[in-house]
Amino acid sequence: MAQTEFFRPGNLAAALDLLDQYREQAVIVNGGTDIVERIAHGGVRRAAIIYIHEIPELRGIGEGDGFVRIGGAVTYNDILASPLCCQFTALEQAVKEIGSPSIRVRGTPAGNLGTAVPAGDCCAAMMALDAEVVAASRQGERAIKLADLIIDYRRTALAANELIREIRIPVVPGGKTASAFLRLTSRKGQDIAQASAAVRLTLDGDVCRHAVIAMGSVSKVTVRAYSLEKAVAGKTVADAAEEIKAMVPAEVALRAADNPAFAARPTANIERQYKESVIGVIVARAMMTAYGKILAGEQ
Amino acid sequence: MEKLDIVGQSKQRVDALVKVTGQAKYSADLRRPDMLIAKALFAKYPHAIIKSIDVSKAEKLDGVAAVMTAKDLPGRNGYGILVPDKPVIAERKTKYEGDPVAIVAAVNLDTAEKAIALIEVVYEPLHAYDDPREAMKDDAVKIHEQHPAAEKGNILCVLKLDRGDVDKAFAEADIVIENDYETPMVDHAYLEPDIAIAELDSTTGGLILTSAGQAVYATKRCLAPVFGLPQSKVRVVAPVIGGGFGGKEDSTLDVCAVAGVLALKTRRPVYFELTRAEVFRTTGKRHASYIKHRLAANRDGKIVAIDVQTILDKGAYVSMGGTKAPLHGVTMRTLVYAGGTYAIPNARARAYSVFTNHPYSCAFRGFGAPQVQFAVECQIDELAHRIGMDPVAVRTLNMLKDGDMTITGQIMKESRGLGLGECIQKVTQRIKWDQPIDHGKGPVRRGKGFGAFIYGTGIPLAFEGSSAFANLELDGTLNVAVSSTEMGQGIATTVAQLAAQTFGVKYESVDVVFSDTGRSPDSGPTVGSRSAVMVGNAVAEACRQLRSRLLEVAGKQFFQADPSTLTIKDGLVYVEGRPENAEKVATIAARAFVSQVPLSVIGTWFPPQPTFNSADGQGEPYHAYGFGAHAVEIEVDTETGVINVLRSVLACDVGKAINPAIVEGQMEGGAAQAVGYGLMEEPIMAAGVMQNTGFHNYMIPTTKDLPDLESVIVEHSNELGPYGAKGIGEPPLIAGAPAIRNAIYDAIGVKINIIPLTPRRVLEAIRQQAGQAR
Ligand SMILES: Cc1cc2nc3c(=O)[nH]c(=O)nc-3n(C[C@H](O)[C@H](O)[C@H](O)COP(=O)(O)OP(=O)(O)OC[C@H]3O[C@@H](n4cnc5c(N)ncnc54)[C@H](O)[C@@H]3O)c2cc1C
Repeated sequence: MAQTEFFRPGNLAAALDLLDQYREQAVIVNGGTDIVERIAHGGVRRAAIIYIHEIPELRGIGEGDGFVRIGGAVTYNDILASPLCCQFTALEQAVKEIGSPSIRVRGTPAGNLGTAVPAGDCCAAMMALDAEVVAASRQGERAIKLADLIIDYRRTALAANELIREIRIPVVPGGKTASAFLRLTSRKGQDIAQASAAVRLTLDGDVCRHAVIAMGSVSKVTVRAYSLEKAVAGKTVADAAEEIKAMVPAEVALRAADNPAFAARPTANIERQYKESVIGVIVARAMMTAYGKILAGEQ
Repeated sequence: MEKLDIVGQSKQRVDALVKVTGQAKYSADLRRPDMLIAKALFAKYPHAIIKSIDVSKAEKLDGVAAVMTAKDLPGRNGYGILVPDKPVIAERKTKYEGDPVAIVAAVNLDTAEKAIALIEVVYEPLHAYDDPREAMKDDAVKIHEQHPAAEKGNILCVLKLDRGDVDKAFAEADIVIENDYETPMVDHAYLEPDIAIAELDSTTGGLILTSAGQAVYATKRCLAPVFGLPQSKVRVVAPVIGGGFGGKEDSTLDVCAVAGVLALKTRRPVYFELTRAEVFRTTGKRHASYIKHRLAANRDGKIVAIDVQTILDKGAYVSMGGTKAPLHGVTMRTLVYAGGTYAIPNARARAYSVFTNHPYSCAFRGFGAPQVQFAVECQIDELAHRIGMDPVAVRTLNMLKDGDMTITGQIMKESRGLGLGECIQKVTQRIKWDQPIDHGKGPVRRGKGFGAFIYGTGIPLAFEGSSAFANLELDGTLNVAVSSTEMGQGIATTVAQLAAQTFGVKYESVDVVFSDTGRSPDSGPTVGSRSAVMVGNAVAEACRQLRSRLLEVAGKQFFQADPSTLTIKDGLVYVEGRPENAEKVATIAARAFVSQVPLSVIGTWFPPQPTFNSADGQGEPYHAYGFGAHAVEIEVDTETGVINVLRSVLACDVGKAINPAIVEGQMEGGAAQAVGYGLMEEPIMAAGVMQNTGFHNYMIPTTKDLPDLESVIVEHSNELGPYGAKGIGEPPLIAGAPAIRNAIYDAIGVKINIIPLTPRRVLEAIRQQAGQAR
């Protein structure tokens, strides 16, 4: 193969031009914490590397039209330093635990969505928060709901000439709504989730009016746990949590039939059993944390 | 007694500055552009017959300097520290996935990798053995069709220990506790991957090997036949090393052999570095163990007998696993420590070392002791719970005291240091053992656990001993040379302190040369928690000789005094008590130099010769033993199985801490490694193929997984150690894992006898017990 060219466009328009020119032959590098390893070890080889991490238009955090808007090159550390972002407890909790300090200083939520692996912590948090991305190309922009963005293992709905310019999280009035994220890892630092859950809970008195539940690392993509959402609706939070604990939600998909890549691993069976036995606990605990947030807010 | 002002101080390490400023040169830093790059084609199947190898396409590739298969080797196709059973390049058969099938040297890495990809090998795969219990069966396929040392089939050796009347003791005992235990194979997870540079020695016509290895002399002896060279023509140098933990005693042979034969073939310098995945797949591991432990005791808590069977996963080659006499390696340790640190009158132990298709099991911090002492420390806890006695009290009741006999028949002596009692006392005090812990009510429960250990200082083989070189320079500075390696453990600093203290110059006036067979005599390998004592004694002996020579000259030619009335301190010589009339060491050295007084000295030290009979396990394998106690406080999440270590308090009897900061470093490192060993570290093997070959899926603890690691130094002097020292390199690892396991029992009443205690394993055990209770 020919040499790889490295581009560092100074602004968004230049980046979009390059993307439009190279399309499938290009790879976007943002913080680089995921993709650089794959470029270095030959897993990804493209004619052009387009480095977008320092584009000023992508580094902002703001608010408008009922959304918190997070630029496509905003880092995890930027998020943690932003009260606007940290109002979403699920996001704050997800970001806090990602990787290590050296990963959080460069890694980005946009890169997390772009990677689209089931262990992506932001994928779960953003899904529960009902986020959407603004995909930009030279031809214009479109909004894509998170559930529509992640279409398969390591595959997004982005076109080859598009990038994530912004992630938008709808601001829901406080008081009766709060969110939380929880993950289980094999060790406490620098590890990815064995199972994770993000929950956004809306109360009606003591009763769950509505819960959005996203789960990570239990399928080939981040999934909404619709079955659990249905199961908890109308119940007190304590009852709902107790019930969920012992459940293996229908959306958990770790068996060979629906997850050939995972099931090919020699250890798949024992991993699956463990994930199935803890996912309910993780969701229940995340829900209880969100519940605790609401109660604390009421005081 | 002599007042110590250098020994016993936490002097700044001699290598501290260059390491923290990034200037220290590790092996990889010594790579030059003129070097060829080597790569190995490793076995595709861990157990297979090699039908054919075609290297013709690789050879034709531009930039390839050499492609070698077994038939192209210059000397013996076999090496090993104890038995030369590991081929440089596999010839007829592969026995694990780390066997090279062909090797390549090329102008750059890219070309070498391409050449490797062009080599075509036809294999006939055979059943690969993961479990020694399966491999030792009569009908198992022999992994080594012919092995120079194997006793029977895949059984490399069976070692035995017998003392007293075990059957009678079991028959008469009030209580018998019998359990099966399993401990994992573990990777050393050293930061620096294995590297070798081989170049022709233009003066001798031989080879110079530069490699991160723990045993430069052993490397030379093992590999000279591989190169077809006399040992005198092989020089081995180890630069500073990025961690070894026992692994680089062996793995250095693997990379040196490949680089060396390629350098001889191409007549050019060759650089060979393993990738991390290759380090995982191909280098040695800790021996996994399967232990059946029976313990008999009386109702008062006194242990009367043990009966222990240990099956060790030998992996593909002997390495440091050991054979029957005289080179009994790791296997022998599982007998010696089968009863832990307790006085037990009747003992039977059997140790089976069995070949499998795993990476060869080698030396790893603790050398068999962490395996059997895990079992012992779990057993003794269970004994305590059965008879309703405090687990620490049972240990104190049974521990080896002055005059007691070990199960190998060795009498313990306080004069060699027996500090376990004090370790136990200090640890229990610190962790407030006698105060009840709040176990908690919700899903997260708390518990406390305890473990103790014993560990001999040095190598229990007949050759144990060291030589070191000391040269007094004419400006009053001192050069010391040892063949020990500096792998972060601090031996160069310890040696400098011992030399400065013994001779009488400032610490800053001593420089230490290490790990170069061309520049120092043989101080032995840097293993077995031996160096501070064995090498330290040899250095001290050299310095004592220099000192008395210098005092002789000073007495005669300067002070007109009996040398015994003189002293040397901080580089000054004077009549004891009269420092105002001092002469500089440099002045006296200059005079000595012109008086035909030799100022270059070899010091040697040999401990009482170790004995061990592998037919009955009796003997005195070590001159002294280190001891320790480890207590932890943990949290168990009963709904996820996650263990959180909240506190770790470790006390070690080190005889004398020559540099307390270095000793604490060893203790903290050991305690951290114990958390990994106890909770998470485990190669996942499937038919001989390792599944987790990167640090993202082979888990070792991060700082977030560790509590503040509390260390308490206890000093019960060893009359034969330098300033009373005993070994401390390996022992801190031993008791942590059983302490964690015992704490889980304390927290939730669930007993788990397999480590690592991964969340999955813990949760499974909890649910199983709950299921049985229902
Ligand atoms: C040691 C370590 C620990 C880690 N721990 C975690 C963890 O705990 N949890 C977790 O979820 N992840 C973890 N990761 C993975 C990774 O860091 C994250 O997924 C991170 O969010 C990636 O962000 P990045 O900016 O570095 O992405 P990059 O590596 O730059 O890119 C990742 C992918 O996204 C695409 N991309 C990036 N930005 C955009 C954009 N604006 N528009 C379109 N496509 C884009 C890239 O083309 C690429 O395909 C870890 C990684 C490492 C190395």
